[in-house]
Amino acid sequence: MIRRLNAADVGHLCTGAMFVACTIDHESSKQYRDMTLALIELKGGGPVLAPVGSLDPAAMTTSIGFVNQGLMFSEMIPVGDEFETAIALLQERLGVPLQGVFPLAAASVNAMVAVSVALRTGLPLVDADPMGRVFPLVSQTTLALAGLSAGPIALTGPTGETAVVDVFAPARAERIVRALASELGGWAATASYPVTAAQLGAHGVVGSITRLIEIGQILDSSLHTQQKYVRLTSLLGIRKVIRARVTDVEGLSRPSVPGLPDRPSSATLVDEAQGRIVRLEIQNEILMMIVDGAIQAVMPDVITMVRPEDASVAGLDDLWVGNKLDLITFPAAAQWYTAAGRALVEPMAMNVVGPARGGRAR
Amino acid sequence: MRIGVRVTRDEVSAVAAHADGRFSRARSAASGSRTRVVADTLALLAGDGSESVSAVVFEVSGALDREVDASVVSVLIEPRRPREPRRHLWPAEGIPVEIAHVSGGHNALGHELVPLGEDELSRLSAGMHAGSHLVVSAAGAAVNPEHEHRAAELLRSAVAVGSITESSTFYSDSLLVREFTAVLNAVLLAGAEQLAASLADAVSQGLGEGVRAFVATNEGGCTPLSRLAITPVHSICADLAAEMLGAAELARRPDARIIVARPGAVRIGEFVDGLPSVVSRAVLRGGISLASSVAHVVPLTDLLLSGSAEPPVTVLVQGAERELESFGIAPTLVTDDDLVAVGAAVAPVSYWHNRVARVVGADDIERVLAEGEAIARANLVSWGAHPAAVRITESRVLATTYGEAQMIRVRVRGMAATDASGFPSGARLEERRA
Repeated sequence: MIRRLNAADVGHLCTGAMFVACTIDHESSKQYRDMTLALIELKGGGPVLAPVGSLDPAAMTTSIGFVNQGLMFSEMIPVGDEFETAIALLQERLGVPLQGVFPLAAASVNAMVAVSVALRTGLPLVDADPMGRVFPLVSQTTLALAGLSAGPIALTGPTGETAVVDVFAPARAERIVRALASELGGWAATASYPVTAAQLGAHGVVGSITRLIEIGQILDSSLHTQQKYVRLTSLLGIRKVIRARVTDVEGLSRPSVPGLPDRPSSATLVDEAQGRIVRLEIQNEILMMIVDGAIQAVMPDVITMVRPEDASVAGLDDLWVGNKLDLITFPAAAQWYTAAGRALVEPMAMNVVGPARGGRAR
Repeated sequence: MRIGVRVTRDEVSAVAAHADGRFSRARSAASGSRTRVVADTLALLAGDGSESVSAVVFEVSGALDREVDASVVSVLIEPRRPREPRRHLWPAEGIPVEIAHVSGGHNALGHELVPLGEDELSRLSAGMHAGSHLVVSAAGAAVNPEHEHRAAELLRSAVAVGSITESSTFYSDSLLVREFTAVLNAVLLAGAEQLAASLADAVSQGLGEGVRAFVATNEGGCTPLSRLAITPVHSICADLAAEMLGAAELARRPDARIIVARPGAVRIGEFVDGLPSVVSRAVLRGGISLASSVAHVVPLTDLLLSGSAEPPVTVLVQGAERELESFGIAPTLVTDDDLVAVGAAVAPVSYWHNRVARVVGADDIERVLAEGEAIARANLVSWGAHPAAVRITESRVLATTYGEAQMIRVRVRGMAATDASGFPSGARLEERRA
């Protein structure tokens, strides 16, 4: 059903977007939430959330999202016109008008950016995305799995400089756009994966915006933490909740794969109840959770953290020695558990971490 | 002997931690001259001088006042001017701030992205009022603060400013969080400077020259009192950490979950090796972030009581029996001590080294950590710690999410106890010199 999002929806969406992407930088998500709320107040209404099926199957849509390599948006703050510029450039290159936008990742700041862009441009926010969570690379999408092109990609940097990249292969798009993001000043506001509504409906993760709002409604409610977990289990199929205290955090010296972002780190926690040793492998997101030497969850599984005292969403910044956190895992979209999906996103496949010493626990 | 003093607008409460483990107390209403009241309280605790005082640590969160009519100008240095007003954090705290934008900024590698708008700064300074507090915040300053330094110099040379605070004084990856922290710090400066001078005078009047004075910080440590006049924001919620430290000290439990029940609040904190666990940013009312490390102390809930094999240590401050009843737990210890003053008395002197560094391998990581540790040791020793008493309690590199692969964050924390072995009193120093 087509509906207009209100301020409460946007608040819940932000909570849900932070929950499914345990990253360092939740400030950017909150920043975009606040900007969107101010704009809703100014315009007297929120953006239109449209199910994929409500659009003309031939309608052209595009993903909206930041690609980062350097300073985050909370440090190098966008001035507000970057995505409109990118959309205009993409429309010009495609030669057809865009009739909807969807987030590059229905998680973290990119989920909030799409809401803001929909509100600014008046384009409907399509209730779908090509990740269903967040993956670190532009090429890790269900649209790429389906063999669709990532390009052309239009992008704008913090200084206002722009580029349009005619690229087909998503893996090449990742390398080129990431390099441009670094050179532009830390990030690029991108409009990529131009697809028809029919293609998005067939190959995207459908309903992902609505799911984020539902997650936020649970986490923002006045329920007790355990009751929230029960509701989340019903919604997401949560597999594991471990309450553990951080005992060590280490930056690792193993190099990143050339051209890919960031340096990895590991955190060790001790399970408060049973004394199990929990290890988190981190590179931009939490890639893998190992309990007593056996893998309990690994990408594409979603591994996230909340603060036990109030079930508020934690970030990697909360991994301080002595802090207690609830570690939560749940499955990602079904597309990621196919052989091709795993090959694209599992950390071992990406050479991010070596083969695990223990067996997969489940 | 170490003395902790909680100073509020209404009261001065002090506790002396003696070398033999005893505590003695003194409390006075803050009427008349604060300097006099504090000096008399300190003299009372020092007694006949048979036990020398190695350090005095003040906890001043209840005495920090904001300058009500301060004129604050925030100069944001960024590549482009925002199309719409930014969502700054200071309006939520009711601080009026005038905003100015100047072009500039560095990228994640510390390279200049856009040249600093020196002409814009000159035009800006022409319209500024003398006595204004200026806050200068540049994009990328956490990596390279050069634009903040140059802008501050240029403005200082053009206007008779009240103060200039560079946002890179505070460590955060968020420009607006750094800006807010610097703004809040700026409006606290005038009051903090007076307070620091008054307390320094009180120490010399009450205890004589040479006794080192410190101020408690938000994360459960302390720093030289002179720092209060520079970064008062690091002391604005030091009472929470000091109270936990006091409870852990009285319970003699350096590794435990500590619950403190006091009238109006029951809170819990985690202690590891005698130190409260810490988070990198304080969250003020309304969820506003502040770039200051704080002890992780939260209101107790039933949930926090469950799930741990090790029972928590509960310290009940007399008068809070009803607050504790609702949780169904019995106190480990009942006290009428001022836990904040006890905590201040035993707070270790603390130095944080936060920076972003460029590395290409394991050797570089070792090198930047060793440099950080050396800087922490040097600062602590320069503040009076005995070199052998310095402990490096944390030394690690942290990844920067979606950052440049070779850029890492370095975080080192050095500590030193302020007891007699590490901090000789003035009298003992004189003896050694003789």
